[in-house]
Amino acid sequence: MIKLENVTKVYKTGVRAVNNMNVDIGPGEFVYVIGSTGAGKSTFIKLLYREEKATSGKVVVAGQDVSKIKNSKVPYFRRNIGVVFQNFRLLPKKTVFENIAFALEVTDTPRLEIRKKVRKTLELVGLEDKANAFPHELSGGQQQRVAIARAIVNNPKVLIADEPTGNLDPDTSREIIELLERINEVNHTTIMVVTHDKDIVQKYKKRTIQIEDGCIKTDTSTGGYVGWNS
Amino acid sequence: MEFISCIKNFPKHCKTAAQNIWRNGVMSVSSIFAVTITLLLIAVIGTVALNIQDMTYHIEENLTIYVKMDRQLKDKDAAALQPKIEAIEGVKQVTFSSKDDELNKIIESQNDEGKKLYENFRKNNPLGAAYIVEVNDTKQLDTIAQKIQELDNVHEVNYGGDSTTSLVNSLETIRNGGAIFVAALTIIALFMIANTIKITITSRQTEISIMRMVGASNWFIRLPYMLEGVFIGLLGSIVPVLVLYFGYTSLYSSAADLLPSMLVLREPFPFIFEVSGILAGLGCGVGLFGSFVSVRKFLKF
Repeated sequence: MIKLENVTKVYKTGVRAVNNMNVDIGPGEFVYVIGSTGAGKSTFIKLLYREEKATSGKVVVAGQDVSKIKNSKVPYFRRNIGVVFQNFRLLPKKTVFENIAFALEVTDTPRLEIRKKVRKTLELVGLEDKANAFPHELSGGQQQRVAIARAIVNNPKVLIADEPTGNLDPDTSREIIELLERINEVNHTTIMVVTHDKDIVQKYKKRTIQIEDGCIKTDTSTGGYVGWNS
Repeated sequence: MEFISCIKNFPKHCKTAAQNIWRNGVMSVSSIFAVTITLLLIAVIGTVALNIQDMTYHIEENLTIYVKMDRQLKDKDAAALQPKIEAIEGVKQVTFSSKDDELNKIIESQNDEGKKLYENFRKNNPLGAAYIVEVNDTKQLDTIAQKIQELDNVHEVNYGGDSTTSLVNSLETIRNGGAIFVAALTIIALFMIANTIKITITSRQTEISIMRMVGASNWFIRLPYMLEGVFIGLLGSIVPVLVLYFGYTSLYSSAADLLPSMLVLREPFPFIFEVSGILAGLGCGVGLFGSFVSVRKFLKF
């Protein structure tokens, strides 16, 4: 589902953020990506949803060679992946319902279907009663649920979560991870969670990839051992 | 495909645009206000400038050459000169005024006693026939006057001399200066509107980046913003149009008594409709273009 072959990303400033990286994540997997600040996690993610282009190497996401996608086709590509951020990134002037519906509106989904799907997703994330609230009226955990709902409402093949629990307290963090697990089980979505949170990685044991200096340092799927040095 | 989707979603985009204006509250009000002020400025200055222009043209149209023929010349012979004057380049219209006409004019301008006095000359008219010559370009008044002077039997040519020439020159300066002023003002005003819209959109940069994140195509993002610009332009032109409508009609009716007949204001209709159309068009156009340009900046890869 996600495949990187000898990928290198050098920014204009000369910073080598990702250095000859090779990763292979299969469909339906749930993967943690960990690493200290500046290790290249963010660049790794940006390469996946084509916010950045790889300097060399091949990035394949959901069957598409990302670096070969034309600028004008990027929006269509992004409909295959859901992204969740640490700071939620909800549209502040839209209600919860509208925020989630927006991801469907851009794909020209009929209105009735939008309503049905949004309802269903709201149920999945447990926010049926907040449909008409604005983001600023919600707690951090609730906002993150809305963001997740928006990311999964059009059934993407891949869900990328960039430190989804970074702004949340431990209890809420656990709820969010459990929600992601549920999505992984119910929708068979490939899920990649970038995190700093040791507790979570240790409590919900999954395949864990540790990035350091733009390279994969350890990958538990190949029998590696994750050591914390952050 | 994207184009079709844009058309299909047009009503929804309109709704989104209206909703954005409503939900952005203060920001929208401030941009609408900015548009209102600038359009109001354009409306007032433009109306004044247009009317001054009209007046100067009107004054110039009334500038004529008065050609007096020799007194002993009979009307019939004097009338023979008309084609010759008409043949001079730049002459627009030549009106013949016979000896009797000339006397009538004088009598009319007198009071009762004077009328009786001049009536005595009716039998033995000492006045010569005359021509009133209108010209195409008032700047040529002096040269045409000179040419007429050279014709046979012309007793005197009167066009006001240097003072008329300088009047014509200053009228032209007023016109050109007014036009430049209005043009400059319009450009400045349009920049102000575009800038206000730019600020409102720049403040929503994150909003745009989120939309892109979710997979919205560029036109899907752009269209509501452009419509929002159009709506803001339209809303902002309401007050200027109303001010123009009521202000100009009342000005027109009160000015009719105040101003001399030479300085008439333009008829209120269709003038008001034309200017209103221009104002609304300017507001919409600048809103559309302004938001297009400002959104474009955030849609690049």
